[in-house]
Amino acid sequence: MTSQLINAILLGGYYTVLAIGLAFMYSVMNVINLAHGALIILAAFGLLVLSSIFAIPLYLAIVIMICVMFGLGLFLHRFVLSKASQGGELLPLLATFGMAIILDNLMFQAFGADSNSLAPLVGDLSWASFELPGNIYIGQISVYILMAAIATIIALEWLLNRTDLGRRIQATSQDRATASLLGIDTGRTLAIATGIALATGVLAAAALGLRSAWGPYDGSAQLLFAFEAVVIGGLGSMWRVMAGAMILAIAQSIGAMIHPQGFLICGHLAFLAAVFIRLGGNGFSLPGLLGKGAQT
Amino acid sequence: MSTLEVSDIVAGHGQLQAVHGVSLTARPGEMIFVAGANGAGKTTLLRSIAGDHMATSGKVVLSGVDISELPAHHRARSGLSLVPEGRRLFPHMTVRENLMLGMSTSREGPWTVEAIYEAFPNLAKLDNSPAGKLSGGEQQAVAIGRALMGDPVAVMLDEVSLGLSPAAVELAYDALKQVRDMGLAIVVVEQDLSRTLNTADDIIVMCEGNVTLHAKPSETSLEQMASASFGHEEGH
Repeated sequence: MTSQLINAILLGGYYTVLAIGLAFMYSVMNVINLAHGALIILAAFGLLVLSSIFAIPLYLAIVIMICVMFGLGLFLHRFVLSKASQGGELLPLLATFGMAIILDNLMFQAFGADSNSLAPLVGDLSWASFELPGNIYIGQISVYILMAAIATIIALEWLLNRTDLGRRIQATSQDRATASLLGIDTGRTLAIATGIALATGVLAAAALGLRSAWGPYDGSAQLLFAFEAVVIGGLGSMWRVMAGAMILAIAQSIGAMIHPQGFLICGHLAFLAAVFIRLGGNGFSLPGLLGKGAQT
Repeated sequence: MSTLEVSDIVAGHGQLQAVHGVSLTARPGEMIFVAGANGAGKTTLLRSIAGDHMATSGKVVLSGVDISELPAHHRARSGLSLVPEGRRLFPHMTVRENLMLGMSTSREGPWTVEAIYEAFPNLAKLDNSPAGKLSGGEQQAVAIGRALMGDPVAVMLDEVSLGLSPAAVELAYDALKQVRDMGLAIVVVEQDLSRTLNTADDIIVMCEGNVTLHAKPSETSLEQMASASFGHEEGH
């Protein structure tokens, strides 16, 4: 039981890494990026190509991909999101949904349907484990992923609340017109925010590739877990996203204990419960669903 | 040379034309008042000058440079600041954070958070309070301070006294007079006609998007301004 709980928390660490970019983008720009999962898969392929074909060490490949995805984020905002978000709440959803389909199929075209993994690149680490008292073994990679999740949240919270750029991002997200009147280039600020959101996806890609395997169409599954974690936790602070991810992972683990196929079902049930609690009979709205009332 | 020179601004919202060719000039150390009833087009005029609303036509020249084609954030960086109606502070951020956002213009100048606290002594003790928790007068002070933090050469203020206590209005205008005496050009939208007459260096009264009166305070009277704000043009 203790072992299952610890493993659920470690799984929650992975879901946190998945969800951070999605939550960041919605809280700053009011855009739910349905291509979030596909972009993570893209980053994973990027890591694979860099480290297996160009023989670049994985940590360096991660740094390179963070820069690449940041640049892609600037591009994405400039040419897709800034235009789409002028058309209301629905248009960015459709635009990013379309982008996800295009990306999925381009990746299938380029890399085929094979399963890929980054685990072979790290040798022993992929099965190394820590031994805890009571004969409990936990995978080292999962621990590092959880630490990466916490470090990313601390970094983002610091950026948002303690730096000039962060205050400009918040000002732009809360009141774009007033932000421009103060001399803030809101377009550039939001482009940087999109870049940051996509850059965090590289950590998710590395986590995905190291702990398991992926194929070109696995983006939607990652998106689903990320979205569920965000809805369960609610927005307002990145720590809530982490709480949501933990609840999702614990619900899934309990499900798996009850029945071998209960893993996904219990996760979805936790998600549905969160949806009902959040909407609370007030009718459907995205801000309501994502608990955006208490913005930091 | 005048700091702010606005000529023939035409602006509207969709089919409705709210401002029909308004011009105004503000020289350094001068406080211009724009008065008029609700719906006269005063706010649209100010927003068009600041670039928050795109004018259909007209020209805005700041310190000799034509900024008519620039987006709002570039106008702010050129030194033109607007304190919008309702103050529009960021309520969850502290007073200091709101003030520091004013530095986004990246301009050189005398203003720092400490200098703002000297000009508005009641703000110093609120340094770390969320701006949303402040009284109307304190919020107006923060909004004016935030505009000054950008080190502008011209400041426009929309509805300075709206929703403020008489004492708070007095404080706000005391601060504005200090700023004027530092050589900034100031444009104020104000509904209080007697305040306008007492404080202004130059008065413009608008009605339905047109200027119905443009006079020095010594050349006009409350009655004249009141009738102009209802659309009676001088000399008609």
